[in-house]
Amino acid sequence: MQIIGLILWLGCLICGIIVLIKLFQEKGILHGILGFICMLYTFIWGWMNATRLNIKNIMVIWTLLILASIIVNAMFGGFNYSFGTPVTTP
Amino acid sequence: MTRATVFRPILSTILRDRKLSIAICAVAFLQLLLVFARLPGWPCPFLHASGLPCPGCGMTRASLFLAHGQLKQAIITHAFAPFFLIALSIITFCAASPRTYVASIANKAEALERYTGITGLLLIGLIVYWLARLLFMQGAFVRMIQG
Repeated sequence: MQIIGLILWLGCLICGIIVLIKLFQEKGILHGILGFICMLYTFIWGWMNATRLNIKNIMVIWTLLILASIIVNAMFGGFNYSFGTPVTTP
Repeated sequence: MTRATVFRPILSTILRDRKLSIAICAVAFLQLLLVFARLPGWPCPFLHASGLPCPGCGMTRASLFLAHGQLKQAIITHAFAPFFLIALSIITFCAASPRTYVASIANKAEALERYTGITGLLLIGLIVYWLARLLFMQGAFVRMIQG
């Protein structure tokens, strides 16, 4: 289940990056940085411009992946984020 | 990055787009409410896919600390939370105000952004702050974000 969770999050990240690239191209570097800092802004902007930019399919996939990730993580506890965290010894 | 890029207005363009302002307010307040109620909020894809926090990770919790008057805890969690709350307050005010007021506020915000480049500098500062936390205190940073 950890692998499924990770794959779902990777899918989310890829969709997010695709929309973020569109945001960079359409609105410039600073809006792109804002979108990177706050992916929620990218998500909102993506849905608001989905028809015009022809990215409706990506937005639908991104939304479904987020919902699936939340459900999978809620059901199975997600995967363990141990990367970069030092191991504590007694 | 040229001077013109840094001094390009961002907040004023958001303020002028009423639909975008309303959407940002609605989603931001929903996120704050969910986290306040200890329910799962917006999951950061960057954090979950890479295991590393993104530049905005911790902002919701820091904003809630600020709302509770815990300034020190808020700054420790995310130093840019006060700026975020100020921006959110301005966007919320504009989303709820008549268009004539919004135009006036957006014009003032645009003049300030073009003159000082404050939004661009804050965004670049936030990226530098995130890189510094990742490079110099990664373990503590990751532990704090993961709760």
